[in-house]
Amino acid sequence: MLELLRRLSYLWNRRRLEREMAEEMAYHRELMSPDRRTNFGDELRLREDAREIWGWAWLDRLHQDLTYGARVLRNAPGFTLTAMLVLALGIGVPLSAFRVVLTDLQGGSAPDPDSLVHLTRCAPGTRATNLTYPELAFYAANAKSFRSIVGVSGGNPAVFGEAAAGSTPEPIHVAFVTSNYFPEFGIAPALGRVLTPDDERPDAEPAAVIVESFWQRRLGGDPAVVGRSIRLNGKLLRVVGVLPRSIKTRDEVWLPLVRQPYVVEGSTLLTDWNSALELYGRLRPGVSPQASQQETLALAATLREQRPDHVWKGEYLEARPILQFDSNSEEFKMVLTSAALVLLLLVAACANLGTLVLARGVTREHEIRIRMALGASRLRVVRQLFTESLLLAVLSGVCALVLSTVVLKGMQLRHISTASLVPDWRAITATFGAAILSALVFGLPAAFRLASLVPRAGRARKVFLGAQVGVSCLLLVVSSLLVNSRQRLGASEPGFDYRHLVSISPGLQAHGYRDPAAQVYLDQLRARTATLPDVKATSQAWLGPWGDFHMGADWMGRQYVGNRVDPQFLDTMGMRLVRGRNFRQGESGVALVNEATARLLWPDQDALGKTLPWEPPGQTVIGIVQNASTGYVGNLEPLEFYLPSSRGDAPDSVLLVRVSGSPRDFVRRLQDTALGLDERLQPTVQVVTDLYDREVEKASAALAVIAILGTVATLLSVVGLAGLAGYTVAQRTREIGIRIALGARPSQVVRAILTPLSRPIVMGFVCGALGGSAVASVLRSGIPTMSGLDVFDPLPYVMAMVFFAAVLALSILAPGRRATRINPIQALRHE
Amino acid sequence: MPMSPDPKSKTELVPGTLILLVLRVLESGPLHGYAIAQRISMVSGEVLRVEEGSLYPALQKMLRKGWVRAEWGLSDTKRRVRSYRLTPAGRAQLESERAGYDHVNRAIQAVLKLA
Repeated sequence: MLELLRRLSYLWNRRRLEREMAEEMAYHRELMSPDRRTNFGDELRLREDAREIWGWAWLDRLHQDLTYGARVLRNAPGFTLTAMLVLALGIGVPLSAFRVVLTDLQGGSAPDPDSLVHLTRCAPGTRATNLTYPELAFYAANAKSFRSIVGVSGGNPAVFGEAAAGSTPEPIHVAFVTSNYFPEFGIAPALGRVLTPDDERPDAEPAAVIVESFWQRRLGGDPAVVGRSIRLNGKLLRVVGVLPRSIKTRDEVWLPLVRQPYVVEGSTLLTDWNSALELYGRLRPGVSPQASQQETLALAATLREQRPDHVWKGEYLEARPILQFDSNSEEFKMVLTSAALVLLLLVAACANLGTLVLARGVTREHEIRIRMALGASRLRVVRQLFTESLLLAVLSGVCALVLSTVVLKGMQLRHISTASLVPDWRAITATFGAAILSALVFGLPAAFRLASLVPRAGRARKVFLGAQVGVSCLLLVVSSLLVNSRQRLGASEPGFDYRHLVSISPGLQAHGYRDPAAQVYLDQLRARTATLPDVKATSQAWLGPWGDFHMGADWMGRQYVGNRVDPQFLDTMGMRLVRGRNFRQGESGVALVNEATARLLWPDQDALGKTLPWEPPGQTVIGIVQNASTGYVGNLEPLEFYLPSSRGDAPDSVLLVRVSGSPRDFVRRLQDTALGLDERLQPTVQVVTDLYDREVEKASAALAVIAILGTVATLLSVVGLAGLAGYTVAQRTREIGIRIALGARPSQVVRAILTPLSRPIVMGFVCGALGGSAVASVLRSGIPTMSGLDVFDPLPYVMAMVFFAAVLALSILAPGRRATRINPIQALRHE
Repeated sequence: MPMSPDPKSKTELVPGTLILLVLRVLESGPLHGYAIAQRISMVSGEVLRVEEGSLYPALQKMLRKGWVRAEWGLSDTKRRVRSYRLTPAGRAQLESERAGYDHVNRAIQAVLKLA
């Protein structure tokens, strides 16, 4: 320890101490007899040896290498700028994605995330993500495994402001949470305070916290906002704090869960066994998720004695740490694939730089030989060359940080991301980690080669070249496959009359409606709606088309999308019955399937009269309808089935209305009609075409990202190939000169340059195409709108190949021209 | 005081003993670099010779380890000189090195007598 301090103090006082040593040695020398004086040896060398003892010599050498490296880079501005551009793109693009995802990862700020678990109801064969308030209360009171249980109800529609105050009421989303949400998820207020247990007392004043963006947008960033009153659904609430922008949510106002009935009139959430809350648990120290599941299994059994209708047999609460991905889920595969795609860019950049550095090394052989002749060891040369690469990589890392910040700023301006513009330590670590890693990849092989520690560079160059061609091709193939499927999506019809459809979701469940009353309300709403002019048909369905919620079955590895509908559904949606018959009013135990489902489930057989193979049993197919994608937008081969409405659906159901003319003109009228029956409701009226547009936009955004990646990778290839071809020409000037002198035609000269490059290019292309189809099939299973994508469609591959060939031709155009114009006489005089 | 130019009288130091010798020489009082070399040479009857090339690195190492402390003073000729003084840690080191050396030395002597 003391020794370390002495070393550091030596480093600090280096200059003085060295001067002193020089003085000391000079004195020593003076005292020596004149005949011995020459024996003293090289004083400089002696001082260096003595200095070495302190262990800082590497610092001197590093400094020396860095100074030299900087000079080399400055003297080759073309190479330096190209390399920095390549690597800054290669690091910066993945870095931007990394920073966005980092912000998106919820619970990223939660303290000790390993003991924070998401709770899901599970029983053999069934599962449900949502629990009810009575269950929350039961487990919070009885489960010993958890220190606390957090309940969240997010995305609730509410109306902010009131007409009387002069401002227009605005529909927003609000969240209801238990107050322990904030400490467990590590959320500190930006202003004021968060909700506390005191706010949950029945006699406390109704309190709310608002999100920073809402505060800015809607309350003008009023610094005195804490303590102000706001109105939500006409109810007064006291603002006690502002949540920071970093919390990623679409809910703009957060309220205590126990205040839900106050804000949502008529709600019976707190006593209701049908409500839907998301539950999280904080495990006590030392309790494993498995142990907690054992406990909840026993607890659920006792709860089942009280409410056998609501608790399943063998039910327990599955506890999964919030940061743990389900490694089998489609989502996880998607995240992994996207990460791999983005990182491929870095691979391409490294491979690219590798070829450039190797090619450039040829021109430096001379310099290296001189250095070695002067006594530099091979390792010393490797170290110096590698320091150069490192310097380049670190500079590029800085550019990449700037680049990603610019990208994030752009995304912020378009409200896509709320990632912080100032890079945090993780982003900085990732940047320089990636920079150093890439320096190892592109810098070391070239350094070893130049110091003649490995034989000729042939193999490394081929690997680099093949890798960059492969990666560029892969990204090109994927983007061209996606563009292709996107075009078909735009050209395809979803199979029903979505342009004239409006759905009304009155939100009966949230307002405490139970079945008979809800059905009465819906019948009245339907009767009134039917009398409006231009309304052609109405239908009551459990799920509106293209909504956020889906019902369905997983059978033999395929997803079947289901819905529960009334007999007017087909007519209202504009769907056609192909064979069999429609439902009758009040019928049960029957099902309609679409043609794709029928074909897949019973190939070469008649589906009519068959029973659906999944739960619940005994649903006989009575009709086959034309394919229509009502669950997801743009599913080209939708697998769907429809069951008759069942009792108890009404509180959650929606009313579908087909109109003639523009559906947008009906929004206001339908809203008024719904409110006319019960003015406490917050009905959501959705124009179905808007959903279509939104989905198409989302798919286009994903496509745009892939296309950008593909373009950047191609750009990198152009730069890399052009550089490589250029250096090849420079290196072989003499040989080409001789060839020309001996009568080679220009085409033969170009071929001579291309031949050694052709094998890695072809190999890279094949690997890239294969990888591209693999990636595309993963994307197909993960993005519903991409499910029509045909991996075996040859057109995208041909397009990618043609495009890449064009790029290749372009990149060797200039060096090729230069080669064919080599003057043999000058070339032979060269060097 | 010139060293004897006769190669026979010049003996290479046994590796690892230089620090022991320097510590021992400094035990009797602070000395500067040249004086340390002189003292060793003189006391050993000009048999042992300390190369400057190894003396200064050894002194630096001892400084680093905290066995000696360097201080500047004035010589008789009014020149600034740096002399080295043994620290308590250096004294302890001297004892342990001396013990170690004796131990090895006795062992070598025993083998030599026997053979």
